[in-house]
Amino acid sequence: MRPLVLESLATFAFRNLVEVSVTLGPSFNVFSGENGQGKTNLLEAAYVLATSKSFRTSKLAELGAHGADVAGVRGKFREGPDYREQSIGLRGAARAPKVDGKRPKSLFEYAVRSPVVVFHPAEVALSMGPSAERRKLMDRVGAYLSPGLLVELESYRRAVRERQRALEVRGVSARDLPDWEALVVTHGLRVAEIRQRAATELGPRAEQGFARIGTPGLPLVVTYLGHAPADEASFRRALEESRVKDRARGAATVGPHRDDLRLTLGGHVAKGTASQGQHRAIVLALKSAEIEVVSDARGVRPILLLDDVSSELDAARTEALFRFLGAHEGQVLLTTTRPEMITVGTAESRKDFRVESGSVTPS
Amino acid sequence: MLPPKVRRIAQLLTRLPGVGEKTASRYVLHLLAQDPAVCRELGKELALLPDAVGPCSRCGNLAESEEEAPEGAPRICAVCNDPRRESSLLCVVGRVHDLFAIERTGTMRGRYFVLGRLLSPLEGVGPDDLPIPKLIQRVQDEGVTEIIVATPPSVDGEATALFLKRELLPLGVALSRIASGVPHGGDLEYADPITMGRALSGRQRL
Repeated sequence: MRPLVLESLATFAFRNLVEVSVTLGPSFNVFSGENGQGKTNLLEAAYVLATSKSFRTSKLAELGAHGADVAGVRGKFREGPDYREQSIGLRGAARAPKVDGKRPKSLFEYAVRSPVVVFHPAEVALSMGPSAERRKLMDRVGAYLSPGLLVELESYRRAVRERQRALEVRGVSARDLPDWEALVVTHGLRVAEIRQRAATELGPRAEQGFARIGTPGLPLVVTYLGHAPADEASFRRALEESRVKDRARGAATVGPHRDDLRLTLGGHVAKGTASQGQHRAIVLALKSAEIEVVSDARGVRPILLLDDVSSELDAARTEALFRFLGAHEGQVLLTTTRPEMITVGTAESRKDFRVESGSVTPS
Repeated sequence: MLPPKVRRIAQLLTRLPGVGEKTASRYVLHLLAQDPAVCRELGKELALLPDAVGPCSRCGNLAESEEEAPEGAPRICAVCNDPRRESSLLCVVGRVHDLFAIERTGTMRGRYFVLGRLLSPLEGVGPDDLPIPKLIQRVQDEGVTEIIVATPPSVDGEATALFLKRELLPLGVALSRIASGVPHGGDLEYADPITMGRALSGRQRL
């Protein structure tokens, strides 16, 4: 399978970075530097370029440098023999993506064009944290499995919010409730179906991945925990029956916005029972499953972005991570405070960079 | 620095869609460089516009007032006045813009009804804010037998269509919804997946 390669990356007024312009290698790119120098900002720039979103914040206005009106990221992606130049212009909370100088048909289309998978310390929440992180994982993967997911998701959320407002303003017998509920059901069932597929693709791969790196004898089991009733009629009925409760709570209690990906370790729910190390192993297993599913669905190896990898893994798991990295046939961009610990790649396949006060130089 | 008068007009022009500060001052400077008659005529016509054109009292389309009509007299648009239109066929749209889009096709034989807004509790629009009684009245008065619901394929447009369906069904008229699918003359491979999916599920027997 051919890899996706980000060959060059340039930023303008992006966070603390000073007009970075780097040429990257096709396999390992190691960015080292002290904390607070801009290493994560650089990975974030690559992520924004590929997806038009950030993995750190939902507020795009935060991405511009302090006092800057406009900011931007530009880069050249290679996919086999094909090249394309992508760019994201940022002004406040607005973004203008371009592919080869032309505006894409939609942000949804742009978001699945150049697959990247990011791996950063806060992502341990995927295993330990609230269900929102796991829904995001299913949706990231689902967007590749079924290109309509992001549009369905947006329509579903809109319908849920409209219904909720109608409930709150005009009460449980508001005349338009059946119409909003019909749309919640239509879009909700499609979202649930795609998430189910995403979970079915992710599950076995994550379970096998965990068996290689996790605690022996404690199998990981991944299952989709849907919150949408299975068919149209029962979903409609459930919504109608929950009107009083939803109005009092100020939020809808039924529907795929409450979905989860259930993770059990030896039969016990991982959240609350697994050790720190086990949580990290679960996250690593889920991430490698994400890479595999995205690779298969998109037909191209995604770029791996790893932030601050060596910081909290113990020796055994660092080794597992490096084994996993060594087996990755695509491009990797990783940051670290301790480059001497990073033992991946050979002199030919590895490119080192130094990040200092927002500037990036080859070292 | 622009003279205050120029700035004032430029500021008013920025209220137009797609016109920013720069474009607005370009417009004013351009007008100043023209024959003064252009300015005068534009000003005169603009001043008369609000009284001369307004919503058709029957369908909500844009209609011109009849000359010498007393102020506040009901206006009837060209479509409602056209005797060749079938009064049994009615097309319900969200906004006047949508009416024009359908008219441009030249295939609509019936008349229209403009809702003026779509259901959206988030934007403060509930069922009572839609002109449903007026629509029902019209269906009954004019012997409408078929209604085409042409609200946009957005969440709000779909909800409005579903609501209209429930309100209009008891009247016993034939109801239909505009189809959504692939554009004419296009390659199927360029259709976005949602549109393609809709085109498939809304397929017609050959």
